[in-house]
Amino acid sequence: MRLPHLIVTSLCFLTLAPLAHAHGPTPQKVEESIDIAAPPEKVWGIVKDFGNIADWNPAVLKSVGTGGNENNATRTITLKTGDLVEGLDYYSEKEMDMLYRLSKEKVDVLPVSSYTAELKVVPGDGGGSKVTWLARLYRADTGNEPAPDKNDAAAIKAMKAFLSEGLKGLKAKAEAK
Amino acid sequence: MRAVHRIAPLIASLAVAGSALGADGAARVFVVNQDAATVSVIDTGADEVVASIPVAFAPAGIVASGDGTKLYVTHPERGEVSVIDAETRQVDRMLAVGGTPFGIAIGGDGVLFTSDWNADTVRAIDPVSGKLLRTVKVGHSPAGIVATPGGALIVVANRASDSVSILNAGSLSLVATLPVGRAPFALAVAPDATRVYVVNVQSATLSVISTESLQTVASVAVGHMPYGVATTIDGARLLVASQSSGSVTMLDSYDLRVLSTEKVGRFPEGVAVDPQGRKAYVANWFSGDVSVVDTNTGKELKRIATGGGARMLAVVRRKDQRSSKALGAPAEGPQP
Repeated sequence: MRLPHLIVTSLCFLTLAPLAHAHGPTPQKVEESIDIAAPPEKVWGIVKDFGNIADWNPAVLKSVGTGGNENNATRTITLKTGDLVEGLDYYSEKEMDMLYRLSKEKVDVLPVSSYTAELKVVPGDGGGSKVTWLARLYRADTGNEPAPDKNDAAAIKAMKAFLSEGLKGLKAKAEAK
Repeated sequence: MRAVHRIAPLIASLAVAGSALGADGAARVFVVNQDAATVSVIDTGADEVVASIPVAFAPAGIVASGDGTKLYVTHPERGEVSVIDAETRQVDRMLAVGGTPFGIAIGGDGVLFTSDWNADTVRAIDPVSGKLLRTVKVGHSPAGIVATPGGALIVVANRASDSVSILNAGSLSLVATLPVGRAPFALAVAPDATRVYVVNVQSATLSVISTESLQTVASVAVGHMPYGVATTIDGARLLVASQSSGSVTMLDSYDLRVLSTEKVGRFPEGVAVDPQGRKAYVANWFSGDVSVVDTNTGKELKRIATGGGARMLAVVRRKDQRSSKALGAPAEGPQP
């Protein structure tokens, strides 16, 4: 009778202990893109304000920005699972490009210990746009034996779902009459 | 402090020998492609890939032996180091070193030094047996690690402690711990060994450390998310790869003035310099290729496809030039 209890306890320790490490040695990449039947200027106009991502992204319930679109601006985004803080690293109106990163890991909100992401709008076919959203990320548990919900596959799956839902929301908003 | 004073004259004499290197024939650049689990070999004469060496899962850091006959590649997720024969371009053997070896450097006597990301240590490892010789606790999440020319000092960037640790390569004793910017990652050593350059990913700065005074003597803003740094062979210029802007910034090593900022591939990381001093090679992680950069103009000359997750590079001179290779090798140390 005692044995199962002991096992459960040690499993918990195993899962929690490695989270102390902020990064791991093998970054993963996720790249999602979508074609939108609206001109790049219009699409960029929708996404360009770093702090206002909740305006177009259905996965983000709320967003609060500080520092506008300048380097080192930050935003707090509220997902269904909780809040994340992100910091702006590179912003170019001319290139319709922004790059930002997760400021502090919160693997219970998103099973990723850190990420850098880039959102870029380029001209697409027939006067439309192509939007690419990519991330470089590390799994939630960067130790060498991560639990299934904290491994590379879990991190990639979660990020892919997040980016893809955002892009679909953007397409719907940009193409709305 | 005393240890460093005794070491200094030795470094100086080696550096003089280093500047007398011949410059004929083309060197090879070995590129670690982490996702593809390969090491690409680029001939710097034609700037083409001449071989692709399959290695074990998730290779990260790379360093060339002093004589240029071997390359050592870390596999942090496997606790192993691949030993590659530069001539046959095959993995000779695997060293089961344990832990999470990440960055790798090589001392003057051939001893390997790895940064262990999860154990917060630097380990000295026998290059033949893979046996652990010595270990020392450093800061949190040690990443890039380099040996000074001649291999007297080992310098490691403690990413999660915002510091660098300077170690005596022989005893592995701690000589100094210096604060730098936020999230230091990659390092390069000046050819005369007087300075170590560190790029700090989160503060987007380059810190300059004096190996004589053991102090941080300067700090300068560079492009965002700097993940790689190298000096030219003459030590006059620095090249810093900025991951988020996909560019390489070239600086004057002495007054730290920015000379140019030019686009390369996507998410560039490691930088290595051609021993002839005219070209630099930049591994672009996201685009899985290597940018060849002109170190006079800072502009990209060519982009060479290598493999998914290109991150780190090491340079090996041709066989006839290898006698002096040890002096140039550590500067291309791992930039994990």
